[in-house]
Amino acid sequence: MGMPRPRVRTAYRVAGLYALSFVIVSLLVGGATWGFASHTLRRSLDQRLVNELTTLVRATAKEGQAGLIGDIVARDSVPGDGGYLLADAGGRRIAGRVGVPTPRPGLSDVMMRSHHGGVEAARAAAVILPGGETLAVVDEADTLDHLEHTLLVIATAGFALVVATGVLGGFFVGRSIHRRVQALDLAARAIIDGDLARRMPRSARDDEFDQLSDTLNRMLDHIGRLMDSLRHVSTDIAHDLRTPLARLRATVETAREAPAAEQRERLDDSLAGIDQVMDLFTTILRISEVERHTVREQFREVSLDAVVRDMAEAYGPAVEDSDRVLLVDAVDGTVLRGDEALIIQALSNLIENAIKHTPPCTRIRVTARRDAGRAVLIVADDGPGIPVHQRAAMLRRFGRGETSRSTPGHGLGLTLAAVVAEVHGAELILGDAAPGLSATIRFPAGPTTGV
Amino acid sequence: MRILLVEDDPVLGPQVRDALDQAGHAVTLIDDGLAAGERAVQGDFDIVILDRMLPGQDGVEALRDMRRSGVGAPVLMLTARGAVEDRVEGLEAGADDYLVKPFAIVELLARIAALGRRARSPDHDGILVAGNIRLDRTERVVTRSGRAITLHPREFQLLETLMRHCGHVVTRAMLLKAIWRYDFDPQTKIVESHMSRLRAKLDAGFAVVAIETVRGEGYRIRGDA
Repeated sequence: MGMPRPRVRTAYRVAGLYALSFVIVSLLVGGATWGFASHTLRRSLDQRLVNELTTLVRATAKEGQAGLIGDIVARDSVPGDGGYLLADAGGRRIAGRVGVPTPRPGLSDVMMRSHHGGVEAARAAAVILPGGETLAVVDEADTLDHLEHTLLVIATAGFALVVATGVLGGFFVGRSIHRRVQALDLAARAIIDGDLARRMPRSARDDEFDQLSDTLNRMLDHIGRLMDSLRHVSTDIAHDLRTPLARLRATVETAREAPAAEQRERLDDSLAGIDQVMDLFTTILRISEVERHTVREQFREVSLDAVVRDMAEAYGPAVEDSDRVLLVDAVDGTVLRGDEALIIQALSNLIENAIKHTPPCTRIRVTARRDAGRAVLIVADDGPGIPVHQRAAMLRRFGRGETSRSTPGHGLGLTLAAVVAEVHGAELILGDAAPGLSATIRFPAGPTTGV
Repeated sequence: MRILLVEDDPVLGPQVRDALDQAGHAVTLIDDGLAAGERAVQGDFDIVILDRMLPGQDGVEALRDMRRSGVGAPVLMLTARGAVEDRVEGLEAGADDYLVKPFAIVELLARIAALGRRARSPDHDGILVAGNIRLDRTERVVTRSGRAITLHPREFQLLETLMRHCGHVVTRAMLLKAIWRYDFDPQTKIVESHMSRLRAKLDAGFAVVAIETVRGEGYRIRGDA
């Protein structure tokens, strides 16, 4: 399918950027460490040279040139790489063994003949004495260079390691992410291509990707159910419309040929048939209207016990006339947030359902009470009930127990009640009232009494 | 009554007009929302029937225009949709009643008649009389030929509603809305059951039936009961 794939894959790009920033940061940190170490070492060498020179100059001031020469000789006898130099104004050596040309005053880098014959880098501190002679203290800087070199090697090796880790790590992380995203992508493409049963892959790790897969799978299940119900609705609407429309057509057709006296009766029948079809449509529209959930904006406090009492009062005589008994059990202060008109509609459907699908002498009990802070509405009868395996189908659009297909009504009453429950964040649960059917709506915890 | 009918459906509009004509009303039919406000101001109508969905201008907008221009006639809104929001919107814009399409012509006639009576007759002093039946709203007492009849509150409301429209048909839908505030049509015979109890109490010991059933339409209390 022709969706363009990005040229630079995000996972690799992110990993690459991370590796690059690793490199830059370790370069900065390594460079700073190396620079600081080298600077500190050089400063301490210079400090030592200057201190020694100062000591010698002070001694000269006290003991004269002879004393200085004595000092130099004594110090030069201590083994080591460095040494001393006392040269006259013309540059001729007066004392000291160290093999360097006369350095200029102050601190300077010089080349020194080492005692084993070679030439090595050295550092010198020199001063011009009052008599014009130059006094210099010299020490080798080779150890320092060596140290600096070692530091550089370590830093470079560390740096290389960091870069390698960053790049490799980035690559593997990138590849892993890329593969998992690709797996999701593959599954999604398969679903687009019509494999509706396909689900997002899941690993045993239960990480973010698996959670994402779970969420997507739940969404897919939900969409699947919606599509299922859509398919059912289309067939069921077609089926439920064909019967009354066929009857209607026959009625109208015969009315044309019927004697004038009968025509009016046939026309009345036709009107009733049309009303039945219209009623079906009104309910379908009502269901989709409630399903849009915009009613939630108009939710206010509803007194469920008052609603139940009013309904019982309205339905009482009709239930009595149908030779059934309506019992009410409404606990004061059963309040919830919702849409009163919708709850009345749902309750009316539940009561009518109980009247329609039970034999005479059935007792229908309507209950409104609070249970653990939640308002609960129950309509239960002691009729024949519904077999467990048929209950889910009852809540589906047009889902009617096969045995009751012939009775009047469009079979959407329970569906509408279920949709009303759902818009209130509740669920319509069909259960066993032992004997009989119970329909329960347990509303979410709402305002407390008296709010 | 003089009726302004604003309906754009080319079949339904003329049909409703003819039905209202036959019922003895003088009907002006227009099919444009923009023209509706103007006509309502110019003509002196007793009732305006206004479709919710109109070309030119929405029915609710047209209604707001009318009310702004000082049209005081009762307005009956016709809505194709059953949406609660639409009804609320219509009533807030100044409609006096609404009817959801599709409707029965008899229902429309009954609503028009009720609106017309409401517009003409101000509230009584709390006493309603129909033949030998007398209903005192403040004392909540009903008598027939001087004999007191004890009614359940809902039966009292039923009787009161019928007596307000004495001699005219009141439909089931009107009763459901007036007494129980139900906007839907229950599958169960709620109205019929309450009505049969009211009748039993009202007619006990009398030869003449007080409340008539008008088949396919509704109920009517006889002015000469």
